[in-house]
Amino acid sequence: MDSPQLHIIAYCCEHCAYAAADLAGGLRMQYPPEVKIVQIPCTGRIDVLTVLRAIEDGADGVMAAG
Amino acid sequence: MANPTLTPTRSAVSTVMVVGGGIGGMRAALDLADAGLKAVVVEQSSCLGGRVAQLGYMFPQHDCVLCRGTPDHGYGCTRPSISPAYIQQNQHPNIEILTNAHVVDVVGQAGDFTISLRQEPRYVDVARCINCGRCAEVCPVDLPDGYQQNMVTRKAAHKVTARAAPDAYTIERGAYCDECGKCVEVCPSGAIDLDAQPRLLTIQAGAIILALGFDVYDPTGLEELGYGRYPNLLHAMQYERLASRSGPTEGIIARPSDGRNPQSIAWLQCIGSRDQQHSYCSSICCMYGTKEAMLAKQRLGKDVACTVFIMDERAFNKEYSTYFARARDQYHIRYVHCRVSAIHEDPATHDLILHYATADGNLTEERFEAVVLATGLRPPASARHLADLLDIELNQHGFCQTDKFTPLQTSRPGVFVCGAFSSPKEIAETIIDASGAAGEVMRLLGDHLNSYPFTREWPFLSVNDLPREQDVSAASPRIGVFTCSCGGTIGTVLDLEQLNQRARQLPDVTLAETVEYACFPETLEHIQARIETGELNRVVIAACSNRTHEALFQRRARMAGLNPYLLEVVNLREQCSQVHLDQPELANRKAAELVRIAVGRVRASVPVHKNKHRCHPSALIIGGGVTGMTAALAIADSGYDVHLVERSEMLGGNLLNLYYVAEGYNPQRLLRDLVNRVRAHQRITTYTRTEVVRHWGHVGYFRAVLRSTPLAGDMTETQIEHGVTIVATGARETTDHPWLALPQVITQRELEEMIIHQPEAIMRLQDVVMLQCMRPPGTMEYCSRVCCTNAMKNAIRLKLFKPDCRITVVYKNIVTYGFREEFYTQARQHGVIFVRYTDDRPPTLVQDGERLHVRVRDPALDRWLDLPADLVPMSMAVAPSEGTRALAQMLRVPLSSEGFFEEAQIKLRPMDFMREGIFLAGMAHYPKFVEESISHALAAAARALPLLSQQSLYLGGIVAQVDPARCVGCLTCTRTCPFAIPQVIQQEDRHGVGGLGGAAFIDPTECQGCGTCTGECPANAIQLVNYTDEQIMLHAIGGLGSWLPAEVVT
Repeated sequence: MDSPQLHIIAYCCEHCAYAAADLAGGLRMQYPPEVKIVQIPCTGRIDVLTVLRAIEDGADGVMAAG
Repeated sequence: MANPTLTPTRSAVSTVMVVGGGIGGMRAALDLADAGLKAVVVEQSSCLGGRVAQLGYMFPQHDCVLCRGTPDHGYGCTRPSISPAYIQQNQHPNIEILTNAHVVDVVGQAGDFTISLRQEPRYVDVARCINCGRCAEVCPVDLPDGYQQNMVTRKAAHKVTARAAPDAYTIERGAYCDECGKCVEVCPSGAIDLDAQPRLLTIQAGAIILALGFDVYDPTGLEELGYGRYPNLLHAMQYERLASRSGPTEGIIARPSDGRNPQSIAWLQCIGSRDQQHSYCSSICCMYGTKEAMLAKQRLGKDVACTVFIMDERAFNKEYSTYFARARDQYHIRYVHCRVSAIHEDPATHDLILHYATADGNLTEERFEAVVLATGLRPPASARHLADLLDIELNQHGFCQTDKFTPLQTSRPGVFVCGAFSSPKEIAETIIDASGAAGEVMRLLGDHLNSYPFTREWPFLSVNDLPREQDVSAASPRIGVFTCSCGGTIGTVLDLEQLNQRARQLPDVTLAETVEYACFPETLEHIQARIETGELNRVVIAACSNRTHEALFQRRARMAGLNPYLLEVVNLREQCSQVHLDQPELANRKAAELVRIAVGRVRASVPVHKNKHRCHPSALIIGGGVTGMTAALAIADSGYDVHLVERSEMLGGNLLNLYYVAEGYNPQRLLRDLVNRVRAHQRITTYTRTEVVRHWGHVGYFRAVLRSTPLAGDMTETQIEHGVTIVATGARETTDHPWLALPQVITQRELEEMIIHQPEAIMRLQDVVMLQCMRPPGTMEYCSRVCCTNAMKNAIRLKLFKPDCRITVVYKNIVTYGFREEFYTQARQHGVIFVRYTDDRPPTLVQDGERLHVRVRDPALDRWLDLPADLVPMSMAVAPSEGTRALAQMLRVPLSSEGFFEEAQIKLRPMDFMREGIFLAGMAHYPKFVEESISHALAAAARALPLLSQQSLYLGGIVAQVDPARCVGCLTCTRTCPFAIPQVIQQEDRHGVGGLGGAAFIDPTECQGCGTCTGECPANAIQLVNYTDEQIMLHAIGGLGSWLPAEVVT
C-alpha cells in the first residue's frame, strides 16, 4: 500500500464497520490514507453494479465491511 | 448553601430516579423516558456502562455489542455511548445523567420521594470538552487504570474508555494530583476548571429503581490458591481485559510474568461461589469461563490447551447447551469435574501446578502456563450503606431482598430493583429486570405517562418544538461547506484553507469556510442563520464522527427549517486527520475526496419524512398463564385496554398444576389473586377457549381474528384492533417417553400432585430414584432450567414426610443457579444421594421380577449400580406449547433452534421481536421459574406501554421504495429480505413491467431500511431512500473511482 495512486473504496455498514472506523480514529490507530470510507445502512445495500462501477471508474479495490 | 433543585419538574411524581448507570440502569431509564417520564440516572463513577463496558465479548454469540441493538429508536442500549439515546449530542430529552454522584438521603413515600444527592466535580465541562486528549498528554501523574483492572496505568486527566458517556475527559484530583495546572493551560476549549466544587442537589421523584450491579469476588484471601503471589494467576475480569480488543494487550492474551502467550490455560470455576462462605451460585461463571476458553483458542490458536475445572455445567438458557457442546466438540475445551484443592508455582518458569482429585478419587497434579479464577459475584460495596439510607432489606447474602412473586419490588413501596443487585445474573436477565422494573414504575405512575412528550419524527430525538419546514424543492442547490478546525485537532493536521478552496470548485458549493468548533452553540447559531436567510439550502459539515455529532447538526438544520436529510457530515477527525498523522499530503487529498463525496451526496438528497400514525390504545395478549395475566394487569392498571386470549378453559396455564415452590410461597394463592384481578378489571376483556387465527397490520395498528369455541353453542369469530401484541403462550412439560408407560415411572409434575393429593402413597415409598435431563426420544437436548430445582423441592418434601425414604437423584449437572443452590445443599443435608451420569453411559431401567431397578454407572466407584425403585420420577424436558410454530408463522416471527420464540437479540432485546410492536414474555421464550416469568411479563408490558402512551408514532423514512413500472415480479426481494417484508401483490393502479398484474410492495411501516432488496433487485426497480444509486455511486460528480474529480460537472 505504498503507491499513492491506489484507490480503495470501503463501503462500511453504519452500525458496525463504520463505527469501528470511528473507534480506530478515537484510538488514533494509523492506517494507509488510500482508503475512502463510504457509509451505507447495511452491506446488503451493495449492488454488484456498485462494485463494478467503482472499479470501472478506476478504483483498485472495493471493500465491503459490515 | 441551599440545595439547588434539579431541573424544575412539571410534576415531581413523573420523575424517577435510577441509581446505577450500567446496562440495567440505562435500559430502565430509557424505557421510562420513552413512556414520557423523566429519568434521572445517578452513577457513582465518571461514565455510564458499568461492568458490561469492560467486557470484550458476550456469550454465546461473541458479539462485541457494537453492531447489535442500535437501530434509530435506541432499543437495546449496550455500551455507554453506543446506544443512540445516550449519545451526548442526541441524548433522550427525558434522561438526565448525573455522574460522580451518590445518594445522601431519601425521605418520603411511593409517589413522593425527596432525594438529596451529592455530585463530585469532574473538573471538565462536558459540553466544551472536544476529546482531543491534550490534557492527558501533559498530565504528569500516573495512576493504576481501574478500567484495565490495574494492569496498566493512566493519567490523572483521563477518559475511562475511548467511547464513554458522557463523552468527555475527567480529572481525578485527590492526593496524587499536584495541581500543576498544565491541563488547564493546554486545553484549547477552556473546558477545565480545577476549582470546581461538589454540588448538593435535591430531586423530587415518584419512584426509585436500584440498578447497583455487583462486585467481583476478590480472591486475595484464598491462601491455598495463592492469588496475588503468583503473577500468572489471574481473576476473570483481568482475563476479560486481556482478551478484549480494547485491553492492554489488544486482545492477545499474554502472561503477566513474561509477556508470553500461554500455551496451556486452566479455569477454576466457583471461586467465591458454592462454598462455605458463599452458599449461592453466581449463575454466570460457567458460561463466561467457557467463553474465555473459546477466546483463548480463537486468539492464541487452536493448539492452546484449555481446561475448565468445573463442578456442574450450568448452561441454563437459550442456545447455551449448544454453546457448551461447541466448546467441547469444536474447540476441544476439556472439562474436568472437580474442585482444585491447591495451586503451587514453579518459581523458575512461573508456571502453575494444580493439585486435584480425579473422578475416581485419585490425587493428581497438572501444570499450566496460566490460570484464571472464575470469580463469583458479590453484592455491590455500596449496598449496605444504601440499604440503610433507603430503609430496604437485604437478604442473608447481602443482595437486595425480594419476594418470589414480586421479584422487582424491594421491601419499601415505590423502590424497585433490577439486575445483579437482587441476585447474580447475566446481561439478558438484567435487561429483562430493568424493563420489568420500569414496567412496575409505569404501573405505579400510570396517570403520568406521556407527561414529557417527545418524538422520533426526525433522525434525532426532539420535543416537538421545531418551526415549519421550508420547501426548498424548487430552488437550485446552494451548498455551504463548513470545515471544523476542532481547536487545532483537525486544523493542525489538515490544511483547511486548501480544503475550502477545493470545496468551492465543486458544483453548487456557494460557501466554504473554516469554523473553530462546529459543535459549539455560537457556531451552530452561525450556521443556522446562514440557512434561515436563504443563503444556503444544503449543508456539509466536515468535522468529526457523524455517530456522535450528526444528530446535533441535523437538529440545528431542522431548527433553521431545513429538512435534516439535506445535511451531510464528513468525518474529518476520526476517519482522516487522526488516523493519518504522518502523511499530511495524502491526508489532505483524502479530506478533499471525503468532502467531494459529501457534496455529491447532498446534491442528490431530497427531503425525507416519516409517516405519522396513531397507536391504537389497546394490547392483544396471547396466553392466559401467569405471564399473560401479569402483563395484562400491568397494561390495564396503566390505563389501556387489553384483549387477553386463552386457548383452554381456564386462566392459569402451568400455574394450575403448581402447588408449592421451593421457596415456600403458595402459588395457588398467586393464581387466585391474578385470576380475580384479571376477571374484575374493567379494562381487560378475557377470551377463554379462544385462539388467534389471523393477525396482520403493523405496530400501532394490528388486527386479529379471534376464534372462540364455547362448550355449548356455536363457534364465533371476532375481529379486534390493537396497537401492540404480546406473545405469552408458555411451554409444557413433555410426556413422550417410553418409560412413562411403566406404572412406577412418573413425571416430576405428577410427583408433585401425588405429594399433595396422595400423602398415603408417599408414606409407603422406600426407594425413590429421580432421573434428570430426560427428554422425548429424537428431540434436541437443551437445559430446561427449572427441573433441577423442582427435583430438589420434591426430594426435600419427600424427606420431610418420610425421612427414611431413600432418594437418589441421577443427574448430569445440577443446575440450581443463584440462591436456588440452597435447595441443593438442603437436599444433601436431608440425605438425598446424588449420582452423576454421562451421555455415553446413560441410566437404564431393569425389571427384576416385581422390582424395578435403575442401573447407573457410578463414576466414583467406577462400576454399575442397580438401584431399587418404588417410584422413578423423571424430569422431562420443557417444550414449547403446541401450536407455537403455527403462531410464529402467523405473526411472521422466528423460532429458536429449540423451537421457542426467538427474540430480536439474545442478550440485549430478550422481550422484543424484530417485528416492531410484537413482544415476547415468559416460557414462550424459554423455560422459566414463576418469578422470572413475572419479570419478563412486566418487561414486555414496559415495552408496550411507551407505544400505547405516545400520541403519535412515526414510521417509515429511510425505507425501500418500489417503482412498480419496472418490477417484473421475480420475487428476488421477497427471498432476500431478512425480515420477510416484501410481497408481490395485486393492487389497483400498480402494474409491473408490461402491465403485469402484480408488483412488489414493501410496507413502509415495516421496512427496516437495510437496502438488501435494493442491492439485489435485478430490474433495478427498488431504491432505498437517502441511499439511492446516485447517492452511492455519485456519477454526477465523477464517480468514486478516482482521487480528484475527473471533471467537474455543472
